[in-house]
Amino acid sequence: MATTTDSSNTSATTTTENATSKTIKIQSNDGETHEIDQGVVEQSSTIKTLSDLMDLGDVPIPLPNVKGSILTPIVEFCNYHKNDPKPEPLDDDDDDDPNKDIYEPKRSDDICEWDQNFIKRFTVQEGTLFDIIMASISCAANYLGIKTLLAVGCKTIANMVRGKASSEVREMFNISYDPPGEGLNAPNAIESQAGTVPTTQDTSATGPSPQPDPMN
Amino acid sequence: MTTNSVNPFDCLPDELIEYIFFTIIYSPPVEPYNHVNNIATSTFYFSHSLHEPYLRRTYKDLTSLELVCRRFYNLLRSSAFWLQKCHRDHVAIGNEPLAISTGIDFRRLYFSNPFHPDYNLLNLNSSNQDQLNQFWTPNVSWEETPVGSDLLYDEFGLVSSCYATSYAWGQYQRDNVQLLRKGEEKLVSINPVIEFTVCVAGRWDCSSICNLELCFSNGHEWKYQRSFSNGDCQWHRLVYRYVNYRQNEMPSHVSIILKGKDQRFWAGNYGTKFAQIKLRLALRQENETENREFEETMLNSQIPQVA
Repeated sequence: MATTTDSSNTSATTTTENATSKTIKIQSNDGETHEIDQGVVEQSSTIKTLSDLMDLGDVPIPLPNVKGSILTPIVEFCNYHKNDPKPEPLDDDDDDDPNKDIYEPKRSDDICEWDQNFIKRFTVQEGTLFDIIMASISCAANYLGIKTLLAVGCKTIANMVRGKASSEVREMFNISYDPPGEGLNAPNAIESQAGTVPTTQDTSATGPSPQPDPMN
Repeated sequence: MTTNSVNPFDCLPDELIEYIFFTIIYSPPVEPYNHVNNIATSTFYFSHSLHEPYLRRTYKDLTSLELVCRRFYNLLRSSAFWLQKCHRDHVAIGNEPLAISTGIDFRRLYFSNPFHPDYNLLNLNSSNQDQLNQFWTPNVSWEETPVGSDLLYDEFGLVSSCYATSYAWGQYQRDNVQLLRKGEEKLVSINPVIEFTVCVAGRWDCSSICNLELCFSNGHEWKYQRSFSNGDCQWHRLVYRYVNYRQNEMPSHVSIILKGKDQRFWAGNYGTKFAQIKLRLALRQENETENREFEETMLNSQIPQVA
């Protein structure tokens, strides 16, 4: 019998019981528990690894770095995508890249509509957008390793910054200005060169260069 | 102004910020005939003239972001980042390990790549047919598709046009073609290969001959002669790779003369045909130290795989 998630901290959807499907429990760092099925487990490399390695029974996997208000929408995202076809491994991926199975950089303008609406609920100002991204990566066992959500989050940020002037980007993300260059007099000169592309192959015109570039 | 706010990028690892940058890309749609597949490496590249404006736009967006903060600057100025970006965005370099070991600036290479296989030093300023025709003597005729010879396909899968010579020598002449554009002088230290290629064919009904001559500004010369007997109407790609010049003394110019004629003295254009005349720089292949000339016969059935 399926139940739907609501925004309070009760169990997530359960699938109909059959011999091959199993559900496991996960718990946010503030005590919210979700019960998730195999389709959701598959999307998180961390959870999948843990559940493959051991028989957890009823014990929830603790996620000390993910709070409930973030975990709930993440479970919602994974439930929506659990029937998606698995992406084919890209042949031209760099086999030496240790991040290969996490980062799948493609374009940033191919986010599907449901995902776009989903991600809109999280903003930079409230810190929730970055919370989602942080929860999705897997640089430590505490994180979830959800490729698809990570891609959506990062592409969203890419779309926010592409084509913008650097001062706009700083304002959007509250980044303080620390130019790697001479000092307070440098900013104006630099800003006026922002984003220029040399039209000739002149070595002295490689675009904004507050510092002599050792590569040039 | 903002005392209670923290820069959210601070908690993201470098790889993730790079990932965000990688997804900033402008790219033409992949369509039949606008790109070339490399089956061996499972990569492809676009036609150079098609791709260049997109690459410039991407470059412009990313270099703007360099100014946001020191961390972005350091990430976006890293050669390793741009090497990956070139690879992901299908900027064709050729011999990547060599490029890395010779310290090529991948950031510049991204939008200005003289090693692109489709980048022809002979066609830089002339893309329309009339401008290209001016280098031939008037007794040579341009054929949109070869008449009396097999069809010739280019690497994109399109049929090539060609120039057909006549009973007196028909000649293509280019004097002092510059090999390095302004700003590329540093490439001299990489000692790139200077590669010249041309496709030639005879007609099925008439024997013909052709002469090729390259004169480099350092005195080096290459001459080649080929004849076509009656009935041989296949195309042959002739390649010359000039490699063995003094270290760091790459020639600055080359002059080219191509000549062809038929051997029956027939009125009309029954002489050798020329197509796909190309001059470019390339990275050396492994263990390539000697000059090399070679010929490949373009079998008619070798139509390139077009996705």
